[in-house]
Amino acid sequence: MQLVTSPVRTSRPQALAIAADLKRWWDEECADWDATVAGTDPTSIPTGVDLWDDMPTVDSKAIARTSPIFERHLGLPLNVKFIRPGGYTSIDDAIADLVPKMDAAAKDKLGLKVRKGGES
Amino acid sequence: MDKLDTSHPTVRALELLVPEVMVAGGSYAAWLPHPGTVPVENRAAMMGSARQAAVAHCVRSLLRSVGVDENAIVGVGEGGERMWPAGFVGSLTHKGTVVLGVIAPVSSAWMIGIDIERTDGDLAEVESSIAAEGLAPGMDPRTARLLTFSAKEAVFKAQYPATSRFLGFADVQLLWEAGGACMRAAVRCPVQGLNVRAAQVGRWIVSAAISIDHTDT
Repeated sequence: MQLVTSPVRTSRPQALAIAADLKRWWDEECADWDATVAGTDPTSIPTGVDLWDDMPTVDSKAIARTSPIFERHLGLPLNVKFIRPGGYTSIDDAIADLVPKMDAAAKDKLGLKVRKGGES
Repeated sequence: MDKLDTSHPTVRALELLVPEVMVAGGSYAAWLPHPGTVPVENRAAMMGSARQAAVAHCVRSLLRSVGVDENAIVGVGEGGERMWPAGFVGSLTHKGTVVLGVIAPVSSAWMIGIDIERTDGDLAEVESSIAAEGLAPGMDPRTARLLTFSAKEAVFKAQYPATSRFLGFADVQLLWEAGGACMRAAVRCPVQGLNVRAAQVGRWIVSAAISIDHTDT
């Protein structure tokens, strides 16, 4: 399995695994668009309006769609309150912001379950 | 860079949704070359730079529309909210090559938030998180999920300047009215008085959350 170097603040293997899945998901999101652009004749559609409109961006809707990845690894859906207002500049920016927050949230939930004697 | 294309259908859609406020914005697609002529590694930066200029253009238009100096500073607060001139509320949104904005004196609207989405990408896997109260009736589920997402984003943005509180999807319930070209919903959330109005135009969904009644505070 190829390791992905992401700017996460924790070196825990689980955080790296989450980052790798997020990066893989984003690469798949972008691959379709890149292929569409490559297959389009620039001279036939001069400005490519629809193409730019369809360009994947790391905005709140895109990030919301990563919730299943967090749930698969941490047992928690993404807490949307963690999403930075205004979105992110890149997938690495989003990973660096959200993975530590979700990691901490999962720890808090685990600590709560332990204090309650294992009740969910 | 030239002016925004104000003939973009989302501009008119937003004007019809919230006639109580001033609307500005449009498309900046004409500022960009075909993406196939731009190196892959430069596309995001080019789009980001154009978007930034378009947002600035929209802000200046909004300020002019209410008689404020267009060079007035509209900063960004800690929660990502725009710091509009005293006595005014406003909101900005952007997606693809479109930027939209609204502004109004607080006598016209004391909370306003807008959002725009493209009808691409499905939110099926997160429906239970974003729309626990159910979807708008009479729509295909995929569009209804996007509608709920967009409307709640507008609510988040509308209430934040008044509360400084980040809300989650579960903090907001939308009670959609049946029928009508403009989709409307009552809002249940920690802040009273908001209602949602939304429209789909082509591959766009435009949403607004607005409160015009100060007696509901």
